[in-house]
Amino acid sequence: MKRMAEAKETYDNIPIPEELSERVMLEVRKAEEKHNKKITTFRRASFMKKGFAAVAAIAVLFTAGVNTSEAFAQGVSEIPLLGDLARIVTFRSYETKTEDLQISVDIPSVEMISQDLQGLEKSVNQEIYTFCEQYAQEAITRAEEYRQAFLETGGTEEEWADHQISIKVWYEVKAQSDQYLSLAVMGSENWTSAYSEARYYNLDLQKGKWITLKDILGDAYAQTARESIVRQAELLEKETGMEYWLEDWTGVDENTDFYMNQAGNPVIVLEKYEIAPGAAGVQEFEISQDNGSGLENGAGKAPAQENGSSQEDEATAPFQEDYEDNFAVDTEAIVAYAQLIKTAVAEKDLEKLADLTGFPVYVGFPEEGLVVETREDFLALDPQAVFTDDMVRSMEGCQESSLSPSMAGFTMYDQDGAPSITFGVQDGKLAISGINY
Amino acid sequence: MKRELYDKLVSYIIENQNKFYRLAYSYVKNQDDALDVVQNAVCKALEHYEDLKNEDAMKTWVYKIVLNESYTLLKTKKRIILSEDNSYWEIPYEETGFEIHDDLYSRINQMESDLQNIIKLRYFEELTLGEIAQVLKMNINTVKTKLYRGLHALKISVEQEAGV
Repeated sequence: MKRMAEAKETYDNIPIPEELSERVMLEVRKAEEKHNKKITTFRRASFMKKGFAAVAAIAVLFTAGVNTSEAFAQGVSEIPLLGDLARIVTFRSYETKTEDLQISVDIPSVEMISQDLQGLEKSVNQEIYTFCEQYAQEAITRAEEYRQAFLETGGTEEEWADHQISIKVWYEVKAQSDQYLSLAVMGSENWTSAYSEARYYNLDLQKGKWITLKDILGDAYAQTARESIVRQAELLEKETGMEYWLEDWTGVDENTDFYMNQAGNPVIVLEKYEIAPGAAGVQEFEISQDNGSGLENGAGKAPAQENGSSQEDEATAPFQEDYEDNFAVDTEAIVAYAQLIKTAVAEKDLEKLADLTGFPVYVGFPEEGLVVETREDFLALDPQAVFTDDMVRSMEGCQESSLSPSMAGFTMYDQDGAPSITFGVQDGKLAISGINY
Repeated sequence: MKRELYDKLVSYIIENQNKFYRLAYSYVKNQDDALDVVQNAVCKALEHYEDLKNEDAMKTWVYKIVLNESYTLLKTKKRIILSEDNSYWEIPYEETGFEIHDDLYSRINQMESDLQNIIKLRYFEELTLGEIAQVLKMNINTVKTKLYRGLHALKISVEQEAGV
């Protein structure tokens, strides 16, 4: 069997020339034109309505779909591996240009690596796909109507072309871990913000099911969420002067949109007009689960502006607050982070500590200091060597509320000065950079 | 409705073009010819898409076209020899590529057409026996028999392969 596997490998290693795609598309386009000539009632491409395509030949550029393991190997449109349980790949990614319309669509597809989760995978992908296709189709119809209205009221074709109408469907990985995957799929058009849509898909990868707010926040989720949002909104009202409609608001229920952020907290997404005037846009509120300490990591933030052209704002997955340097971090966040570290040390939980650590990290063991490159290496350390009695004592005695920033970050220790743990801003968020004994 | 099928065919072709290329290449042994084969195959498939009855038949139908175009090119360039009764073809020894290795891959490429097609479709493209039967327009039992004959010729034990 090995010999056959080797033979297959030789076969699979046959290199694919770049030219292949061009040749294939050439034939596709030629055939497309032939068909158009033959039968005039055909729609030209599954997404273009007849009236709208009353322009010169459409250039349809598909990139090869990548929902096959073979394409993975080629690294086409592959998005980072999400834990070991799921991958997101771009199922269909295409751009369509006509003289006056530009459509760009990236439809993500989740691939569950475990066979057990195939049912979930199918339903997730079906939903995502349906949403994307539908959105794109509706957006095209809207564009067409807009165009007609425009022309009927005296606009010229040239003026229309200047509009540079563009429709975009794209997605963002909001959070990924071994436990869960949170994906946001967005659609928007650049001539109106009224129809932008976003859908959120939160998957529990371990259990193979959707995550609900109840799963995260418990049975009293509606209340917990409501309270947190009201608190944050009141703060915002003071800070920004924006009016929030808190009395009339019906609160959170099982249909409320949310996504998980990288910190593992749900971020509730409220539609325009739901809790504030339309000008405030879509509102997001993170419900941080500090169990009563009342710390809110981020008050409600309005994400990307409403017009489609600032889609670039959403290009990076939002983590916690993005900090420029150690001096920009607010005290509450520092205290919260220090407390997380303290808990991890008190519990002698190597994994928890690893979660709080940025890699590579310097671990200055008494005999010999090491640079630990990756999380895996860190988890391979001897917990007893990491959580020495002195370390546990020092963290316990540390006064997290009186930590002050330095260039290196924030160093935690008790009155003896050592051992210590230092954390600071790395890539915009807090992470441990050094552990010293 | 026809349009939908057509679009699906286009998508299918675009998504699997690499596979078709490799299959073609394994017969014609060079990049330019392989590109030509795939291009011709795509052209034929789209031109004759009305022959395609339904979506289920799509995969085997396209593979059939790819194999046919590969064969056509080899015939055109006279790189194959037909058997006396025209029932199968073989690639003569000299034509099997610059370097002849005595590895399994090379030997597969030297087999007679039916056996070669079946082995490749089964192990390289991972088609089921039923699909292979459709592609090659053979009875499934014939496919099985030839498969085992092929493996035997390659001196691979059938028991080993049955576990594949």
